[in-house]
Amino acid sequence: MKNMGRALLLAGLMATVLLTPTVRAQTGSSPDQAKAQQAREALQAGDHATAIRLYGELVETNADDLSFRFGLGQALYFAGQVDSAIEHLERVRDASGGPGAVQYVLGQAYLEKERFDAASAALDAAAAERPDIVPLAFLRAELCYRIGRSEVAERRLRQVIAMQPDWDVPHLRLGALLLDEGRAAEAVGPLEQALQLQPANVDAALLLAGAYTNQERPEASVAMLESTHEALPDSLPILLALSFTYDKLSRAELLDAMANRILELAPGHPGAELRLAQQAELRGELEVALGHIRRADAGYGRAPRLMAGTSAGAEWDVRSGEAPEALRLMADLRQQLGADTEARRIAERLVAEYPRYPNGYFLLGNMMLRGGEAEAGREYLARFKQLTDGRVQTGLGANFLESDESLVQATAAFERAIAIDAKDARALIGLAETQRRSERPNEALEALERARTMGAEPVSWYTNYILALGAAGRTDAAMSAWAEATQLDLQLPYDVTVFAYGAVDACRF
Amino acid sequence: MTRALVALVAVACLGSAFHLQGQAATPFVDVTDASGLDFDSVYGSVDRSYVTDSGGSGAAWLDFDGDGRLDLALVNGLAGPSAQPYAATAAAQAGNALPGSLRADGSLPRGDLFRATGSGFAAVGRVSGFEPAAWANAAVVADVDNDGWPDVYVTTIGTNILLRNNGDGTFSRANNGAEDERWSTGAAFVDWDLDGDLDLYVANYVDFDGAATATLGDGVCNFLGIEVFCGPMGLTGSRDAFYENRGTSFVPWDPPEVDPDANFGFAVLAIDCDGRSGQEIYVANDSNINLLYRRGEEQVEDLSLFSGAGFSGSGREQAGMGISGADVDGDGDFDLLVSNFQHDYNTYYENLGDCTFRDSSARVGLAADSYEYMAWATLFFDVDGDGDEDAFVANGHLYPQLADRGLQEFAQPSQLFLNRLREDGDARFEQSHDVGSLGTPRSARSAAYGDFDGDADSDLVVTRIDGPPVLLRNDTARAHPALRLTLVGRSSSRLPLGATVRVASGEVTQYRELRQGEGYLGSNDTRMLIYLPGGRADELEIIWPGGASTLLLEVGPGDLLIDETYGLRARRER
Repeated sequence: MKNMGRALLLAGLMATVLLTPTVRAQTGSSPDQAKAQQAREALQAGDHATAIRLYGELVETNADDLSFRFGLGQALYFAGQVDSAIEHLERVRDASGGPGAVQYVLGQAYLEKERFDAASAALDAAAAERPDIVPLAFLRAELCYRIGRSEVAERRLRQVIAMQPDWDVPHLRLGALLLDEGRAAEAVGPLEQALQLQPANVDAALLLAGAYTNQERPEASVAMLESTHEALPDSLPILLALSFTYDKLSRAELLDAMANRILELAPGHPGAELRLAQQAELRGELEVALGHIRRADAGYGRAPRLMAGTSAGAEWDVRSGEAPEALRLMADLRQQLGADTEARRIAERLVAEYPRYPNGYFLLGNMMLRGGEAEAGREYLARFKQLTDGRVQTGLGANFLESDESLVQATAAFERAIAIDAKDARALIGLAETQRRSERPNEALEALERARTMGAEPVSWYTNYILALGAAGRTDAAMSAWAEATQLDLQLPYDVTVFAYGAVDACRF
Repeated sequence: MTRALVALVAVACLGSAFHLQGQAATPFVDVTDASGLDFDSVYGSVDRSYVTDSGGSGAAWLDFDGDGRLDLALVNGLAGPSAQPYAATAAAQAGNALPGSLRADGSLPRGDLFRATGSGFAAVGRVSGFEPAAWANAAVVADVDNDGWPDVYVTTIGTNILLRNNGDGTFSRANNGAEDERWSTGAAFVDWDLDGDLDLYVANYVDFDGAATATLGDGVCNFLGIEVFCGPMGLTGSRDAFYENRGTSFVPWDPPEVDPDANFGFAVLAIDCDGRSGQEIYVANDSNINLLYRRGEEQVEDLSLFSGAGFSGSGREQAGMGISGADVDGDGDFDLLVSNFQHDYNTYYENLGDCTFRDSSARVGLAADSYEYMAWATLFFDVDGDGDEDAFVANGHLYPQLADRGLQEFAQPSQLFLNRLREDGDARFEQSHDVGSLGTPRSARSAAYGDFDGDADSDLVVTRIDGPPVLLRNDTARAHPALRLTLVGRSSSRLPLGATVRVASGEVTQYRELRQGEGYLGSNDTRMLIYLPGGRADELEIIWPGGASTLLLEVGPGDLLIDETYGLRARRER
């Protein structure tokens, strides 16, 4: 949901038409004019490559023609070559005094590059000329949202909706904003409206499913997803959401149907293969399960691992949490099918690749016990118990974290987890969060320092690290960490965004 | 004639008024109304706002008056207050029930005893003194004092009760030393120290503090996105209790190895899993590791983590509810079945020998069909008389809030899985859908099997959380004739729990073990029904708990009373 720029291409094109005519062609022969007409038609048809080529040729021979250069800038922007687009658009702006259309496209481009001050100035300039342009008003709201000025963003979005109530995008953005703020009950209305206006809006459907669930309306979530699935039978995100829902509701047949459909659309999808393997195993169809799980394991193996930045100081493996379960199931199936040597090899691989995954130790420990390696087996099972007990406490702590009123219980649970296993990075991060939220940022930073060497999960680590640094008054360090997290393309929670852009003097209203 | 012999004769002569001539088309028939069984079940508040409202109460088969007919004891909860169950039990037991404990008509819910009359049942709780008033859970039958009369131990949220059978058709509440005051659930009797009397293991669940526990409306706990009561996760567990029987009373025994983490104990089964002298104790815990203890030289040996029966096959802690044991695969050792929560399967632990188990639930066909149900009592018994043990599971949901929203049904069908061991030579279960009233959706909790109509098959009583219990008569066509054994201990405990029976009939050898407290909160008929594929028992061997054995050869079908010292004391052919 962060970047809605691409979704606004068509609206943006309309806006440039509505804004004051841009600079007129000052030079150019009739052939050039004909070429320019072709370029305009290509741009309007979405053939950006052709538009870029034609405008590029025109600019090359008519360097001072701002209209050609503006056309080139637009085409480059819509084609995703944003840096090049900005370069040309700025030249047009500087030479022409910045008419509304130029400022509008430039503002969009700046927004995409997160140059918020520049975007604000450009969009404000465009709005001064034509405040009634709906996509422009939306972009100004979007900017405010992107820099964490949610109150202003919300106000602006509601104005946009009042201006054009039948456009789904502002409803969607408003719903997303309300969800980010923990106002799920209020989010339902805008999201329902977005979906009603555009039944094929997958983002709206997924967000609405979450809002319904948050409001204890799981039956509404199921119904809405099923309805969206009917409208979009080939939407992979919807299929995945439905399969997850059916899994929770123990609707095995529907889950199988979803998983099979996912595989038709995305052959080898590891999550779907894993679900089918689990269902087949439950039915005792072990060979069938083994086929699925082999493909799942191959799929998970292709997923990239995230390497750490300097703040974290350790490698993070952010392959899906399902990957070790797939490997465990594969070993278990081999064992059930009598291939004990192969099963043992896979179990050893599981423990080696996922040293904090408890069930690997459980599997291997039991193999050892049954194989006569009593002492080693008991050691592995003891390690399994230690990791499991720690996870129980960490899970309890995570539940308690959902409310500010249960931070004391959360702290106790995380401390118990750390007492069980001092290297539990997740528990350390949880403890840090309780300390941060209890206004003890320096203690939080200490816990995070301990966590960082243990392969901590990066999103939660960076979230707490940045916010704790901010709370401790170490703004420069916080912004440095924020830059690292951005470079790692981590999707951090909205309150980190609010903090990170606190100093940005944009979103003037 | 001795009482036991009277019982044997009476069984053979029993002409059940509600047994149809020939075999009915539907295997299990609801004969509750016809039997005269009239029991108003109560267990907490109907909106299930606390975890104290959820577990239900047990049912126990016993021949309390020695007339040879199987009687039925039912215990009851209280109507409330759900946040103060201990106080409610104490007040009810003292005779001044809290107002919230009473039914709408102002009456105090109590347990009751139903005496088999030959044509049905008659309530005799009041006259017999069997009418415990408490937030009661299990009813576990055992001859605690070795006087030949079955006593009943009732677990409660609050002080547990021992109702001692006086031998004259009445019961007295006995101060016995086993008055555990915590939230007790399942219990099992076992001659742990092999001294000839029955010791007691009590599973305790939660150390419940109603004032500190969130309830419905607090918005704290949810299941599938719907707010429900909280627990047990997030609450404090309560440590199990172990009592040594000293003959006249019980003495608390506190081995440090037993439940040091105070898990959420739900069901207990004493079972011999290693083929050596004495039974082990297996405890199904709710959302914690299941426990397995063996008697060691000086102490209790804790096998829980290393047995393979502590977790699912993938290492998950499961929400264990009920337990049953049987030699499912015919290899001479006893396997386990543990019923679990919804969105999980019931776990069949195949015994690999010496108390080492493996989760073989999927392989034997017990996993997939159980996944969507919330299971409580589970019982192995031979339903169809083919010489192997089938599996019964009583299902019923926990949260009415989900049913209110159309997400899950509160009433769920119970299930019967028939073992194909004798047909196919391999232990595989197939769910039978021709089960008659057994499959009627109910919010079931406890169950107990017993041959109440004397036709040599096992019938069922099933209790419910939101209604009276149901009596299901088994009319399944039986493949082979039956042997019914009543065992009487002498140097072993009078009710010789832990006695193992081996029956070789034709090419089939079957093993059984005498247990009590099996299933969930209930007590089964202690007379063993064993079917004879070869038409007779070529060899019938009883291995008594103390180690002695009795061997009989070429025994035909019928009812046998076998005494540890005197051997075959009575026999009635059928």
